[in-house]
Amino acid sequence: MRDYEKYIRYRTFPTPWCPGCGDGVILKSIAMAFAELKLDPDDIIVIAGIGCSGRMPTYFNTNTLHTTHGRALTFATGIKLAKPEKLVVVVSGDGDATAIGGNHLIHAARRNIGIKMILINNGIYGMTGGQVSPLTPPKFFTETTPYGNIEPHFRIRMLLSAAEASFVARETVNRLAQLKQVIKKSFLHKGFSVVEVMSNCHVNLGRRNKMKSPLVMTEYIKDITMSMADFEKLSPEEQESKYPLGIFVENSQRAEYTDLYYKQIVPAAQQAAAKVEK
Amino acid sequence: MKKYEIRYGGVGGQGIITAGALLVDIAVEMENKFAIESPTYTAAVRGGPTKVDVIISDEAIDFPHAQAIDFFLCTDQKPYDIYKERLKDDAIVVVDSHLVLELGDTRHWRVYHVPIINETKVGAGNVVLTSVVSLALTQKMTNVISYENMVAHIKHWAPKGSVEMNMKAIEVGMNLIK
Amino acid sequence: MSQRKVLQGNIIIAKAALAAGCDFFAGYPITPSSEIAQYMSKEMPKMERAFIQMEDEIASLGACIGASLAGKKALTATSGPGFSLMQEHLGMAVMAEVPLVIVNVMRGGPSTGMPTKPSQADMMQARWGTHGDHPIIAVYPAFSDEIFSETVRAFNLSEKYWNPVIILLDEVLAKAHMDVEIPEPGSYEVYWEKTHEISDLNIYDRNIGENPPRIDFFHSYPIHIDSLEHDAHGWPSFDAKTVDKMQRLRMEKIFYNLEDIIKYKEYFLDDAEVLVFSFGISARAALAAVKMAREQGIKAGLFQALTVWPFPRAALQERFKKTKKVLTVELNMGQMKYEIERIAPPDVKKQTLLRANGLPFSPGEVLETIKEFVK
Repeated sequence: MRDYEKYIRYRTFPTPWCPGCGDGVILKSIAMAFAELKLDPDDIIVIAGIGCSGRMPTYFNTNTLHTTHGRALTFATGIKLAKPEKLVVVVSGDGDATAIGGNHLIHAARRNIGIKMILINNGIYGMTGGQVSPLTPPKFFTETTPYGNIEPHFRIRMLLSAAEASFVARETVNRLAQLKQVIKKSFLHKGFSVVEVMSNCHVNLGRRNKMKSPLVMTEYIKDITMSMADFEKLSPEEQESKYPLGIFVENSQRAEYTDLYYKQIVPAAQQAAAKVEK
Repeated sequence: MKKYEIRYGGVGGQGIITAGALLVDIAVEMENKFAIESPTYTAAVRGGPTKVDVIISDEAIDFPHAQAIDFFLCTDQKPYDIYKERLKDDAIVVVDSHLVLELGDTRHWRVYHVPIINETKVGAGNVVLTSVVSLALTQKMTNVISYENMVAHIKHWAPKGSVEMNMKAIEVGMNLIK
Repeated sequence: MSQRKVLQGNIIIAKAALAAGCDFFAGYPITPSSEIAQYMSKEMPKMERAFIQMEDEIASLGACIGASLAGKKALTATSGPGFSLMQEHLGMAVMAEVPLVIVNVMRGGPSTGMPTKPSQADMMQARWGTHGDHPIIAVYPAFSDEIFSETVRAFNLSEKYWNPVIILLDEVLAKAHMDVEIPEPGSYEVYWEKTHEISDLNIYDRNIGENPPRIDFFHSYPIHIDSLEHDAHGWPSFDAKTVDKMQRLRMEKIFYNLEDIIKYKEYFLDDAEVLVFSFGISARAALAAVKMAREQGIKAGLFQALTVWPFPRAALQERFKKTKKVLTVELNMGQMKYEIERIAPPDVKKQTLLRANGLPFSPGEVLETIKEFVK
């Protein structure tokens, strides 16, 4: 048994994911990050909402919670505030995190509460059968954009920066080593972190856009992603359909929410109470 | 006294709601009576008509809203127009003599015209003391709480440095009606 | 010695929750319940308990479920529009069998309705607001001492039966300042089942009718909790036999313990010709009315439901053996009257006093209806 397998709950297998799905790679890289940090499985909780990503917690041999659509961060906030010493990980898809759960995403970033979010961006609602999401690129065909997507997509990097997130990164399922590394780094970060993972849904997005095999789709992801340095060389028009990779924001200066609560608010309240008693 | 119902009407900011709160506090915590106070509240805290109903009783109170009001004190025309209902025959009605001018049919009430707001400003120095002035006026006219308990409670309740002002307000209230 | 003091209804709830061991509050401001959150934000940090204002009511109940699963006694407080938003997570708490307490200070509805006016129009929403078959407990205090005791009881019931419990409160009582007897700690029961060590993963495994043990995260063995239908391990399962058992386990933990859960008060019912069925602020008007009726020689009595869900069916049916007239008084267009119609025998004459215009019934109005009814 390899180190990371300790964090996999094999008794709940098989997973519901289609052959070739990027979710398996992400599951493995998260488990590998747990292993490298030598964490006690009972000190971890993995939480997810609804969708293909929503099923991921079931397969971690840690504490796991499968919740409602878009709301994983709210449960995570309750757990983190209740038990600040635990590693609280949220796995979310693009529809889950940025459409129905968009409000919770920006507020978790604003609060800088120490939740570790893995945002799997496959650009589509997979489990419900291939409908457009806020991260579906323009012009793409989906079950609910049969004539092409006319909506622009959120740029998570900029959205979260505007919400003053303290850790924002992007990786792809093509690069397991880098992905694991970035996830590990995000776990060590004190505040709220988001690692956006570009993943392939060849079944529900690729199939309708001339990319029906996992290989073609991962090649496509390779084509649209690049280092920040290369990205900055592009013209604004070219940048529109490309995605830089790496860690965009890493700010360890911002105080973490539960830290502030227990180390500032609680003592302040207790001092005020003591003063009144005198 | 088995049950006594009091209504204060005013405009937001005068301190009418506070008068109701003080009355209930004294009745329950100092005189061991049963009491409930239901204030109006809206988005705009200041300026609009406000009302507070207070019930004080020797027995547990079944229904918490005023049904037959014994004492109605009102410091403005608009709340007077809206809230002059459910008054008992023979109810005591105290209105501000400068601010409540149209009284309508008052045949069944004992009406007193008193310059509450003006005297508060002049005598006590600040319109927010309308609360304590009204409380003192209520004490004097109804005896629903004792004078001693009222003074003791206001001394305890008043923020540091304002005790004297509040005592002055009590004096103003006690002397408004001779 | 217990002390009598003057407190606002909302504050009585907050104080009682803290007395019951509530150590987590997540909420969102809404009239007329906001004072509960305000009080908690001031008091909870002093006790090293957690308070957070969330971005909406959905998030508030989500945070409460998370905290409860992390071992806390969680509370949220809201009113109609917020309670509507909470319905999905209320179902999640039922499905995953998470103890927590929700206060709904009812205001005039539907929609934004009348934020500063009372109503009893969320009675059926409290029962059936979330989708799917589900057990629910809802309590409804009317007098100041009940506001304290029913809040403590709500926490106890939620911990005991591993189910969300709803406290309904009237706007007029939430906002009023009233005399109240705050009992001394130790003079009332505070239920706190210690989390037991998990030796195997069958966290939901039990016999039908048995009380579930409270299980939370971070206790020796990693567990899985799911909003999907699940088996005894908590793992997703749509197997018909398994689902059937889990559905019955959830429903019957309530129905096997009705005697413990259901609470009501009866006034002047032994010889009553007419039974007034009511709750909350309407029950207070009805009590005053029944006393006036007695003074006039009319044999009226009051059945005040403190537990509204599950419905106090057996106790009412016992009364209907002798009392053949029932008057339902509720501040809505007719909700609990259907429960009365459902359970009262055909020979019992049914009358209602209903209204939803923001004005509570006065004792006089109830008395008039009683008089009309006994004619």
